[in-house]
Amino acid sequence: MELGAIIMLIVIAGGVWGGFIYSLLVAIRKERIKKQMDKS
Amino acid sequence: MEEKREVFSSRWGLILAALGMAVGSGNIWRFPRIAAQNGGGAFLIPWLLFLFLWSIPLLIVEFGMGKSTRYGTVGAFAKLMGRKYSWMGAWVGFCTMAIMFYYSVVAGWCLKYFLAGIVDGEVGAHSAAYWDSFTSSYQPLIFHFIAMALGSYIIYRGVVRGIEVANRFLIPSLFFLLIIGVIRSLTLPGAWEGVNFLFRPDWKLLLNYRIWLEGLSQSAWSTGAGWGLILTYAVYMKKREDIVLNSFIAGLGNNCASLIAGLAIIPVAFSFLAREEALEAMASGNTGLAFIWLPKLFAQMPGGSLFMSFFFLALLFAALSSLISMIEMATRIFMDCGLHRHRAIIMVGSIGFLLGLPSALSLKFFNNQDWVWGLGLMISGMFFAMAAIKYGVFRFRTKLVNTEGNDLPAGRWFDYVVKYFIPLEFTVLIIWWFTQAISWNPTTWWKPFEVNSVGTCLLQWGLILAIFIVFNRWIASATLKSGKKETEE
Repeated sequence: MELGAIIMLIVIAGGVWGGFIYSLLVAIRKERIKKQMDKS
Repeated sequence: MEEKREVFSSRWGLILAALGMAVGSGNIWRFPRIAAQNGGGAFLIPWLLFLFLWSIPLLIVEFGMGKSTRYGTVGAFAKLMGRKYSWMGAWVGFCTMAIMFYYSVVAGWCLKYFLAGIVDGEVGAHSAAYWDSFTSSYQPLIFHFIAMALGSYIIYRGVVRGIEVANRFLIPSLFFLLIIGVIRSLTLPGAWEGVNFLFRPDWKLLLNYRIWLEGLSQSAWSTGAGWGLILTYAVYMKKREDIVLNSFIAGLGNNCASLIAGLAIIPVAFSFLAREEALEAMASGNTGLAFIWLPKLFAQMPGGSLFMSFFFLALLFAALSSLISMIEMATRIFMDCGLHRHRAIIMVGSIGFLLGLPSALSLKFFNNQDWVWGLGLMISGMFFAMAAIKYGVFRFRTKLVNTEGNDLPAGRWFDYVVKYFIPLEFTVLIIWWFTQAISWNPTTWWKPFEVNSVGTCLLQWGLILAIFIVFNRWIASATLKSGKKETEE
């Protein structure tokens, strides 16, 4: 694979998948906080 | 009148439903094709950029409208903009319903090819003839019926037991099947040439306006933003539920699915075909790539019929999860008029089956409807932006989006995108697509009965808009008359 393609793979695919997984993790954390607040 | 309104049992139920709505056949059969035809790596830049400049802001607008008004498209526009704008909501609802009519046919095709992969291992050996004989027979009609009946049954079961349960199964299974496809395709000899092609950036192409407009079109069609589907799901959100983060999850999840599909399909083409032939396969249109070229390519790999079944099962799951959101959108509009869910779904299912028949029986009619209402969705997207602009984008953001329970506040960027970028993108897109249609048919572009003409769009849009504007008052009162007062279940 060409270097340019490898960089794009990391930036675009990494950005999209990373962004998706990161937003899911943030959502999980926020849900936990909401549940804890509801309990207290 | 007080009735119980169902709500999604959890945030994850809503997110899976939103992903199911967003990830459709366009991710699997359109994205790889368009990316390959527009230079691979260079195309990915505008495609990703417009996720943030069209799709996610419109998803936020839809979430905000549905959650605050608790009405389907017609009622939401009437409540937010005023009764005299009900026709805009009716347009959005009709445009998506018109897509539902032929989308069910697509889901039926996928079901047929999934079964064919299991039963008839020889499809790939004569794929073009198989496709021609299938589409010229009455079989698409039967499979269209099955798809519509299955989708209607899921909606009949309601939000939690129907939509949520279906998406809890469909979305993880879809991602699983796509990942199996990626693993298989990347282990084929010469497959990495395809990956190289998909991601290799040719920076000069970024100076070509076409790449940007194709990126915007793909982003607009693929995420389902501006279709009225997320608005409908937002009706069933809990009061203290997030909007902005959920929109990002749906948008990014949709693009993830597109990239996975690209990695599952493009390397297969590059593994078995020379570069020019692979590009020819990509240029053969959605149905040409999916139903003629791919079965042919699957036939050349060991265990090909099994992988063909997997591919069409993934396509079926993607189509079905989007189809159910369209059926729910139509059902919600009738429920807002006072109909019970079960009666409304019988009506929507029957209308959907009947009005999908011409597309099931004629590919020409199918292509015409895809052209007219696919482009009509741009108008729907613009209507959502207009709704937020009329209400006041700052007011919309602070009162309807950044509310209690919202995890990620929308900033001022949202105001600028909705107020300036979306109207500009809409104008450029419509002019570009019409200019293209004129170049395809320089002498017949104005004719109203051509498949891909400007005239057919203007005739069908004009007719529907005229009906909705004339009957606007009646549409508004039918939707809002019940003055429904609902409580969460």
